[in-house]
Amino acid sequence: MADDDNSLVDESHFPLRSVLPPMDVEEVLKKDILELIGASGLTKEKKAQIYENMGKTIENRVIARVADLLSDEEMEKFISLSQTNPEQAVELLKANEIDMPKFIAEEALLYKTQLVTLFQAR
Amino acid sequence: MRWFGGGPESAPTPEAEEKVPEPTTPEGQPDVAGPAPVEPHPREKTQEEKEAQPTGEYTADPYVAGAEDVGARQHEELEERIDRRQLDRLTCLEQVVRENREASPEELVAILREFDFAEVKRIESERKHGRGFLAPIRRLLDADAVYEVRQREEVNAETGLLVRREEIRYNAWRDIIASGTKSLFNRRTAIGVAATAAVGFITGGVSLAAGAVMTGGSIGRMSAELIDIFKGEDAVKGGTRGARREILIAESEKWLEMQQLANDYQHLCAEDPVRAHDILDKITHLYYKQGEAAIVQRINTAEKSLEQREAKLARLRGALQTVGEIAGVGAYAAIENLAGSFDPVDLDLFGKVEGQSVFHGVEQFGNSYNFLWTNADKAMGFGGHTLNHFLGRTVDTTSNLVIATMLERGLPVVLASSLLGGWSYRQSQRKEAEQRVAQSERDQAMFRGINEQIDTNEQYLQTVAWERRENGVFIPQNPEGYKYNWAAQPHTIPKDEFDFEKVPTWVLNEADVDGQRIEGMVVDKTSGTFVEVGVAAVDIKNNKIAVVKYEKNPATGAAAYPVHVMRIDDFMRQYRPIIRQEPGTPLQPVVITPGAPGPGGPGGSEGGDPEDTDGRPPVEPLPALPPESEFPELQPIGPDDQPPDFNVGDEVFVRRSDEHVERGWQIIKFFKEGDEIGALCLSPEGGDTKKVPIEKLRDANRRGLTPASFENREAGSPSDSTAENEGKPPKPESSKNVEGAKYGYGEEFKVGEGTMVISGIDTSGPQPRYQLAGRTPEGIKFFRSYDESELDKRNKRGSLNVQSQPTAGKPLTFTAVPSEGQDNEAKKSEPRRARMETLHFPSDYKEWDSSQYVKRLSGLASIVDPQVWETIGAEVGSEARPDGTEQRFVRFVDREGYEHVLRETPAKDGGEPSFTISYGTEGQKKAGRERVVEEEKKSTTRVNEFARNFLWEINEAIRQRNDGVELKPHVLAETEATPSVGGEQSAEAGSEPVDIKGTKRSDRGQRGPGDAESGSRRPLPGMKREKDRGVGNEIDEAVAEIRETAEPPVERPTDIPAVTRGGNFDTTLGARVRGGVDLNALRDSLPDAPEPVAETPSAGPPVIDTPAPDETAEPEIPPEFVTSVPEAVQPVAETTPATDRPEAEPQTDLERLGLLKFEDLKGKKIKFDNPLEIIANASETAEGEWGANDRPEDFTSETEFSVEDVGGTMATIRLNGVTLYEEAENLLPHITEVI
Repeated sequence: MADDDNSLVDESHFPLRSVLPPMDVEEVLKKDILELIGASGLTKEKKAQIYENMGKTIENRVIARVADLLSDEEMEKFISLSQTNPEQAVELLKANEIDMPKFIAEEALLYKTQLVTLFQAR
Repeated sequence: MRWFGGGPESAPTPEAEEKVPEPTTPEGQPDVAGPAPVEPHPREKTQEEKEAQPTGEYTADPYVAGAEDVGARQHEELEERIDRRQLDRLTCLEQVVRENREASPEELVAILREFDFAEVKRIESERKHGRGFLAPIRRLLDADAVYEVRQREEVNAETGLLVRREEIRYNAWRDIIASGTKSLFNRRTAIGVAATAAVGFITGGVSLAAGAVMTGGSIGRMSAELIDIFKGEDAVKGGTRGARREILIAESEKWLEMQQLANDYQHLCAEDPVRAHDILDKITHLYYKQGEAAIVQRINTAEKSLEQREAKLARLRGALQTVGEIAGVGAYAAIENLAGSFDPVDLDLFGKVEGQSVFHGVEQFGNSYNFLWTNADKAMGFGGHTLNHFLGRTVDTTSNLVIATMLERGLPVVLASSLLGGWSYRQSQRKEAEQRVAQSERDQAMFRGINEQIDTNEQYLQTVAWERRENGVFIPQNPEGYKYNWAAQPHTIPKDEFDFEKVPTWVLNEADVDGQRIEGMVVDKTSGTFVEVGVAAVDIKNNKIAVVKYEKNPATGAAAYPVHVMRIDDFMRQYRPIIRQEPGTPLQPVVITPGAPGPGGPGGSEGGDPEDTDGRPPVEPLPALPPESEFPELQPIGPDDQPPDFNVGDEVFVRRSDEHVERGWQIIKFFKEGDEIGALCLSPEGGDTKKVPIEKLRDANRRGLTPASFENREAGSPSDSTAENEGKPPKPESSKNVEGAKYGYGEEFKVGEGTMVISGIDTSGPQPRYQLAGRTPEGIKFFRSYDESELDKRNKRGSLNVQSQPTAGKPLTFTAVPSEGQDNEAKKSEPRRARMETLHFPSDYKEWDSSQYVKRLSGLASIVDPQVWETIGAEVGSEARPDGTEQRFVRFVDREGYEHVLRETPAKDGGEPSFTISYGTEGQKKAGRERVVEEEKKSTTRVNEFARNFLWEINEAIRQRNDGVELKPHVLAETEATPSVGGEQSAEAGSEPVDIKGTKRSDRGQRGPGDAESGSRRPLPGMKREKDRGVGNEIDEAVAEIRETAEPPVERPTDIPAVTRGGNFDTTLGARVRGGVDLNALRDSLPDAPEPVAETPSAGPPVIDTPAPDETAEPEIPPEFVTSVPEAVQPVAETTPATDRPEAEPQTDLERLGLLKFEDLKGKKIKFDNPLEIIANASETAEGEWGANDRPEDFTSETEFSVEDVGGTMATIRLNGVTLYEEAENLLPHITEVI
């Protein structure tokens, strides 16, 4: 843990930061992405819409990723199992080392990081 | 979607345009009256304008993310920034006025009107946004894009302070489109840069593929390419990405056309900007609505293709949502992350349940996670993300885990792409790599000698490219990160895309030689033009060099900066470095005309810089070889097709059509026609080429060498031959057979996975003697000579492999393949597979670790055929120790009659158990043949060795049984006697092994039971196997010889295993290692590296002079086994008993570094004595790209690399976001510090 109790991040663990663009990782983690990219002034409805779009984007990325990891045959089998035996369908995912929660987390973080990096890289 | 800047709604629709404020006067009134009069004093005017600027103007630009909703704070910041810059401009204008104080007011107005602040803006822009391609995108994303254009309004005397919105947008987009277009079509290397920057515009994933296109065609396309790159698919091919690409390309074209149209119209309507605005709106809107038929068709077609793919993915989406609760699918999770609510979400996201670690292999302690056991690839899955950074550390809080995810996977991706645009480059590199296999031999040779001779680029060019005719320069890339599409010849890099400062600076740094400054490129910084030619980048691996030249279009007079990509050797013949005595001295470019060498340097010079020869010996110019590109019709050979006895560049004899054999030809390329390999040869005069089949080339170049002649011969080309052959034409024999010789010219002998070829035959002696040409894994040619009987013997070896070794969750399968004769019999009566023996470990096998070897091996007792068990004298059980505790043991007797016992001493206080390995019976121990490994908790290598020996004996017995050989129990050898190789224990005789694929590798018919020459004998640790060595050691020997000539002699282990072109199987590592292996260094680096065996009988197990066939030496452990169970399954080293070790052991690299085993590097930081070489060696397989700041000169011995992963002999190391994969033997000797 960081020496500073108030800090979430132990900087010593992240030597890569020295070569990264200026970016507060802790901030990225904790803050809303819209705030990070300077769009906190949006209306609530607009935010919801953007969140939804972002979520879809991430979901799409996850799906595309899953699709890449599954052969056509496996995909068909998975789709079939999902309708008949969801548990087995999940097992099929696991058998292909598809960890959906992890995928989502990774893609979401990656997406968020990308956007924040983009908007901070000025 | 606007915050993305993407989506169709981002298009400049009329509705959007309506939000754009009309050009206004400083008073905020619509500027409908045309250009306003310009006040003579610009300061007052601009100040006034500044104060009058309506705030709403800054929030209405549809191209600024979220601009319409920017809050007051952001607006104030923007205003402040604008004020600051306005002041700069006012100052600048004031300066203009001062400088023109003599001018009349009218003249002053005219001057101010023409003053465009270009320099001010350029400096400001570069200061803020940097240079290069990313800058305009950044400007666009920044509010400065708007501001910048507004400033243009301010200084526009015609319109007062304002300009048209269209112009603003146009100008902003023009930058991007221009840059992006250049990137797309002229510099693929920057695609990643733009694409990454455009990530924010991607709204799509899959379903919104078409959504982002109107963000701007170029960016859209680049985004598509980014997706392709991320997904690892060829951007040109079909599939979802292909469809998306088509759409984006179409949209891109559409957008560009629209921009052009707008541009034209603006010019037409310049006199009436307001009207132009309206008309432009209509035009763009009309264009958008109607479109062009062809483009629309293209889009429709692409979208249809996309729809099909999407439909498929939609089904997957539906299925995933169906199982959502179970699989953890849900966009909510992503949104939670995006919204910064990670802490409460992380538990769910990572599927963490009670007792389950966050990632596979990550242990959780309270709120901390220990990554010690993280299998990084498995843990992070896609993308090769690793957390090995943290191996061995305990990282507090899940948040850090998330940060690690971001840092390790997210940011480096962005960073690398941002800096280098390297993803696409990697893709193109891979494609190119497939096409340049023909260059492999030359590539490998490039690095030869670099270490000892080459310090600078120019030195390399001088000594290697010229003198040695080996091409290449050690420049991975130029520091700016520019990478060229090496296939393009030439393409143009516009001036504003190329950073003049970077390349020459870098070259200068690298090229300071003896007070002379040698520049590869010269830039006239005043005019910004190239004086002559610049070496922009050099690709040593592929013998290509990117040369930038200043050229002037004779028609238009416009300057262009085309990058010519050419072969380095061609370049060297055409140009030479420009040398000047002192920095700052005007440079004198010299153009060297091919074939007209001038004074003072290679390649000659017309201009003749007299300083060129200072301190440098003149070098003979090379004959002008036709560039490779002139022979595109010749299919390049593959790496396995490389003739072992010839090199590109060899001078050879060629038989002309009149049967006259002529010397002095030179091989310039190998090619393949059908199955036939040929060499393209250049005539001595250089004006003729001839395609010569390799067999004919051998025919023309073979010699009737005496034994002495080829003993002394070191190289195979005629030019290297001994004096007695010099000038003599080769024997005019048309047949490859020589009377009296059993083998003929060109006959190949299998050497591991490589081959050696007979290149010389001498029949003058009592028996024929052959010269065989081979090639080391490094591509270095070597020769060996053999009598015919030796060749007979060396060609008759077999091998035995264990199909698989224990690996987590997989059965252990022994394959016993019968001999050919028996195999035929077997086919009649039983299927071949009946001869397979599969031993299944218990189901909990995967849970075992290194401390459970005894248990694991004991478990074999219940599944191995009792007859086999009895044959090897196997015994498992437990015995009481003097302290009353019990220790378990496993015992067996090897075929040489020596007893092996592995005893497991129970662990104390929860620690790891220790092991005792006894080698020899009591009597044997008394004879000094005991080896005891005491209390070596980490000695998994030796435990593995025991296990492997044990398994090998089992395997052998099984194979014999399956082959119908009567099994004879191994008998303990007499204490005093040295067991003979072919003695009673040679029960395996008659069952000489073949490899697991059933490939017959031995002539079994010549051997019978008890035959001492049986190749299936497995030597015990410490045994020498000189005489029993099989074909395959030649390459090792050659490697050793080559190295020993350049390095101090290093004691070599006696039993170097089989070598193949693709790598060596090293028994110490238990895996095949790639080419270029320095086994000595490699072995030295291992904790249990075998030492030279003392040959006194009392010093250890019997020393057998007849080496075992190398391919039978060791069962192979698949590398995945080594990597998957790194701790538990350490490959067995064929080590000498400890008692045999000499007193003074040379320190291995691992010992030097304080490591027990190679795997201990995992998670560490390391420094190299030669970081650049490490990087260069690993560049072929490296992932990620170096950044603009990753300058070669910055990689020093203090540079810290992170070892991400270690598996088998391969280490994954990272530096600045780039992942390198390198072999142990290449790393360990050069590691100077482990942190």
